[in-house]
Amino acid sequence: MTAFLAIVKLTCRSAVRSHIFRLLLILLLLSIFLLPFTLLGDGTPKGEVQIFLQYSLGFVGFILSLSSVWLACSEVSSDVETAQIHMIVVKPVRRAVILLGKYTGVVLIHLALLLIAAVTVYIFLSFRLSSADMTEEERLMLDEQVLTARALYRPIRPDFNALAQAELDRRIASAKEHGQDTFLLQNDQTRQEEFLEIRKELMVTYGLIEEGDSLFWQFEGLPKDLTDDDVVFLRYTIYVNRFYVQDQNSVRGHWIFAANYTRPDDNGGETVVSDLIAMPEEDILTAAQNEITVPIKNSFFVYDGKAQVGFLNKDTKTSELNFEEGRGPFLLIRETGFFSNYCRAILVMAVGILSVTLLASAVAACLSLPIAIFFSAAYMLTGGLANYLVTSIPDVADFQAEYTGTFGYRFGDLMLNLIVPLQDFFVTGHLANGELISFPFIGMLFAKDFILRMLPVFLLGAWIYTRRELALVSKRG
Amino acid sequence: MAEAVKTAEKNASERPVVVSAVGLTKVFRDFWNRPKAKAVNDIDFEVREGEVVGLLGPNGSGKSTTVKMLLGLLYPTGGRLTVFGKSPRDVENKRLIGYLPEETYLYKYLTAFETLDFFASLFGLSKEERTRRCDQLRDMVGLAHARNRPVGEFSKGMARRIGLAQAMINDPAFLILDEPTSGLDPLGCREVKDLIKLLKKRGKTVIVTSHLLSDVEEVCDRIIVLYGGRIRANGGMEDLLTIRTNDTITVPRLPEDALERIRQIVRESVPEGEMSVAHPHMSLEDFFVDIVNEAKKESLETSGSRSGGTIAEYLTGDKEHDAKAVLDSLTREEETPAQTLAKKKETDAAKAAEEAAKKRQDELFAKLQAAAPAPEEEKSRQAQQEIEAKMSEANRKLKDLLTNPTDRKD
Repeated sequence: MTAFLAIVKLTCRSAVRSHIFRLLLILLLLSIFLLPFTLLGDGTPKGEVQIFLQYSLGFVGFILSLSSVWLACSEVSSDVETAQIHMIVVKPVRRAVILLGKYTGVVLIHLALLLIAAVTVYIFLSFRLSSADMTEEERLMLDEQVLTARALYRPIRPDFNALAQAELDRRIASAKEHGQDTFLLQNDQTRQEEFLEIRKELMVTYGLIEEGDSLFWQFEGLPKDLTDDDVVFLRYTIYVNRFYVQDQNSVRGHWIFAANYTRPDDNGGETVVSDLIAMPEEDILTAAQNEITVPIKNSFFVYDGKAQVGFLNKDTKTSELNFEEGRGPFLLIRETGFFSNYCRAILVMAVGILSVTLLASAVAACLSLPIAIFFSAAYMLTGGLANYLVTSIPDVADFQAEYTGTFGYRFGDLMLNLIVPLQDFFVTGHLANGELISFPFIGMLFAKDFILRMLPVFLLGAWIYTRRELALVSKRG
Repeated sequence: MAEAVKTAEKNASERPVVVSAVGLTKVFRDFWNRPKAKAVNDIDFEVREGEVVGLLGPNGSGKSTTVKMLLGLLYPTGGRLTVFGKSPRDVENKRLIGYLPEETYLYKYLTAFETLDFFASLFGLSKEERTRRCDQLRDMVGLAHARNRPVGEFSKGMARRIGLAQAMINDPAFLILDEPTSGLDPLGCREVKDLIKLLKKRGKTVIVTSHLLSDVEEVCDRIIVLYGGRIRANGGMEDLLTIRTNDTITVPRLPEDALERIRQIVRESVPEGEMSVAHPHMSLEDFFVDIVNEAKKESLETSGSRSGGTIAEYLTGDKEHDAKAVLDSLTREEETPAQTLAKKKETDAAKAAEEAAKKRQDELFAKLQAAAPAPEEEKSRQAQQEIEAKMSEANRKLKDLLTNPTDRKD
């Protein structure tokens, strides 16, 4: 233990003396103090705080990840290259302990920096909030939508396969009924193609609402112990037409909420009745994230953990409005306070530092410094690329795409299963949107990324490190 | 006397084996695993407990490779190598080993004290014990005034001294010293040699590699000469270096007529040309050491390392010192029953030889430490001159051996 602690201490001291580390430290300080002043939100206090949270903490996470990769690589491999390791491995210390000591040293110094950065950002934020000049309404909006931790509930996704199958069956039946040639539809291959085509069409048109039409979303699994004092938020983004257009417009429509209550029935029991309550028609900004408060009492809105929300298109200027999948509507319900969520975000960043350092030390245990840094950087970039491939070719998951698209998607999917995408640990977006970072989510990140993916890599690195002929490597030995 | 030495050598062969190499081979390979160079080629040797063995050879002869294999920094390609009967990669074994590398690789930002403290921590020593040993070692290697200076500011000699101190931090039973005197001033060299002698006295096993043959000659019992990865000579210093075809008689200054009478007698059996009579002269090293001691007496300061000379308490054999208790507990743990048995078997002759060596060494210590020349100094200087005369002859022979390595095969 004494030997392990001595190595940890030495690594910390050596790290602090590294020039690149000092440079990154200066960048870290700049990111905390100067970055918030260079970024402008949408002009509202809410927007400013969101930008501050997202970029300050995001940059802190980015700098600390870079720094931990650099330091882990340099601490582990430069000792081997300069033959300083010869003085240590000839002492009664296991090489695995040496590697673990160096890893711990790098992690400790970065966790300390993360803690300092987190405290500074929090104090800075509190100071800005206390000195900010805002109306009561703005402050309330900030408190309810940003400085909170709300669990996000997604609507139930329709079973497109079942819907497509039903539509296909309907078409075949209809063709038969009209005595049309159903040969094409009876052939397995053409029927499968038709099925995929229908499903694609269904998915693309799912969120589309024509003028005068409405669409309803079902929510399940909502907390059953909601009181009328709890506030439920509805978050949504509307686009014009089926194409993804970023131009902002003003459209008209209104939201409809289902109010559920029980009424005695004729048999002496109770039946659940749903009444639709429509909100007044309003102008809505498109291609922008909107949030409203659910105006009916929770005891009516949520029944048995379920709720129903609808939208009625009243816009005459455009042909159809579009709710893109993945962009709402969502229901948000407050779970805990902002401070707790802030601490959880820092915890996720800490798991990120633990994982990235584990990777870098494992790689540096087997490779020379430049190659180790290149490898670690490539690993993280691949994580980003894989994530991009998978999210930018979403069609492949549901139906056949071009070969190149399929290849790209499969490759990205494989990579995402093998490696850890760094962006997993950047949760500042959640924090800025007042979304809850739940403990199961943090636990899942830790288990999936740290234990299942990074730890085996580290163990492999340590195994190679204990078997290396260290004197073969050194440039001076 | 000769018999006593022989008995001691015989005893040496009964002592436990510390290093055993059988058919030891090391082949360096390139990226494609093709053999590139055979650095060590099928060598066999043994080092027994208490021996001081010199590993000699020109650059590229395989010395460093052998040393690195002994330390588990390189792995043998073929053959068998054991240290204390175990693989050189055995971690626990390393508690018994001290290593001074050819170049001292230190962390430049650590101070002298922190450096020693770090290496002591690797042995799991307690904080108090670490501080005690570090302070004593620092005094011993003459860096007492540089306790809080970063080692990056040290001269090569000072870094070497720190390197030497870290090699002894665990009071090792087996020391590997790679070029221990390189970068040291003559005073430092003398201290290192005295230290090696002291270690030998305490029954430690030492392997020394050096290019400075006089250093090796002075301290080693046995030398192994490597060339081209093979052993060219392996044997006791006495066996290898004695010029059996010449005789040297050293006497105090004789009157001219007595000298002439001796010449007459010698002329009867040796032709005039093969005989020479001269005054022995002191070596440059002795001369230098005397000058520096003289300067120290006059309190002239130097900004670099100073002559240490005080052996760390925990390394000395003095029973009165507290540190001895710690040392005993350490060595007791390390000593095997076989080792104890071997020690008991030492004959009176060996003891007598050791006493003689101790006396000579004590005189050397006295010379180093005492500022004023003692009355015996003249006597010891004469003895030293005798040694030096023999040494210069032996050195010449050793150099011949190295330059014509094929002349002598093991």
